[in-house]
Amino acid sequence: MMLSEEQRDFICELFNIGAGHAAATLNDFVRRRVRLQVPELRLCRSGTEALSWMQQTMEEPRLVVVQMPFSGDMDGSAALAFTPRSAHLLASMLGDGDAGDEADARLDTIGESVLIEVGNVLMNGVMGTLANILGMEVRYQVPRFLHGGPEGLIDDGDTAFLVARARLSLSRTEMEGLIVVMFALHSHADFLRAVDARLEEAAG
Amino acid sequence: MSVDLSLFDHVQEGVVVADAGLVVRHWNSVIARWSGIDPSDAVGRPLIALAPKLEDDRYRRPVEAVIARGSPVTFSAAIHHYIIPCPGKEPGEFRQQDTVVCPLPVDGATMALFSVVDRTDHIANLRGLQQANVKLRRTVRLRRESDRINMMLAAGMDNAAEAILVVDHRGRLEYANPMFYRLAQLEIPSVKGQLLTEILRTDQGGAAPSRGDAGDLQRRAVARSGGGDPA
Repeated sequence: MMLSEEQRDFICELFNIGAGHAAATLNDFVRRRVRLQVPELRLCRSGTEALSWMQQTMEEPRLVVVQMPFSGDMDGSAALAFTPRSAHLLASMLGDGDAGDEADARLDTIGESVLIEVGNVLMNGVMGTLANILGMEVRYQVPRFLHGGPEGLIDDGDTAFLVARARLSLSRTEMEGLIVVMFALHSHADFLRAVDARLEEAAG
Repeated sequence: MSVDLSLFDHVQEGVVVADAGLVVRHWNSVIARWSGIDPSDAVGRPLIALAPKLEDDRYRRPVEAVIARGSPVTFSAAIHHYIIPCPGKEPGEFRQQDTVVCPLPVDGATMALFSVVDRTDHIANLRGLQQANVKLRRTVRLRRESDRINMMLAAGMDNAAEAILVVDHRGRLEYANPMFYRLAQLEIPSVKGQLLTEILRTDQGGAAPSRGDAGDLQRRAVARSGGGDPA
């Protein structure tokens, strides 16, 4: 099932509202100008398709991933993915000094904890906005750093993937990332029904 | 769900439980040890009194949202340093802590569970390693630059039109460039380490340089040996 243009625009708008809230929160904490935009979004019906699009979009097979499972009216998990270089840059700029080995952009555990916090703020912002506007109740688990990279997100189960490109700007330094929302298939149908209901309300 | 909060005294992390009014309901033995505040002095007090950062909306709002909406929140040591202040080794220092706050259902109510991991030593070790890494990289960079210059000098000496000799303080040959060997008509490996005076004797094995050439070479070698005694 493809997203209609209307659905895609609406969901992208929700992601952007949530990203705006997350940027404001980060901005408050780090006292730097943080901007976050979601310019592009895609629905993938299989893990292989999602993984391929993620790696192609980021032009990098290795991605650093923070994952936050959720349950309730929607079951699944949200994830934030960055290239190792962007992750290292972000963690170093937000944290106290270098966040790992700059040469190969490997994060140390302190860098990982910074990324977990960024992921937590961002995914709370995006998922909170989705849930609030769509009138769904969602509970979240504590986010975790996924050492295996994006392959760890993909399972063979019936899962749909909303993959959004995220553009983060921190004190004029631009970084590209991905926000991935994985829905169990029944949740995905519920999610799209809720989106359609909101679109009908707006049209009516 | 009924929770026996004293279970948290058996974990290795600092644990604090606060109710919806942010009043401390449990202060485990680890956080008691780190903070120096006894559980009997902490339980029942407003958490803000023990964690003044929570006076700031930026910290209090997310914690309240944990209780109201159930969204966990994480505070990284690298950004916030700590939420619950615990004295460090030096006066005025505080332990660096990663703090996770998540909802804890207790007897039909939702409380906030603060789970605190001490990162102080870890951060200090990492910073030490990073500084050592920076020094090492600087040393490697300087060494490479020095090697590059040495290679240029060596190429210059190897291609020089003049004979160039380096002798040690006893006058033993350390280095001679190809022009020297050509002028002196000597085999390269056979004379290294020999006294310059021996090398330049006319009865040296192989074709010897003329007296004039040898004397000239010896004078020049001695003159450039830095004032040491070549004999």
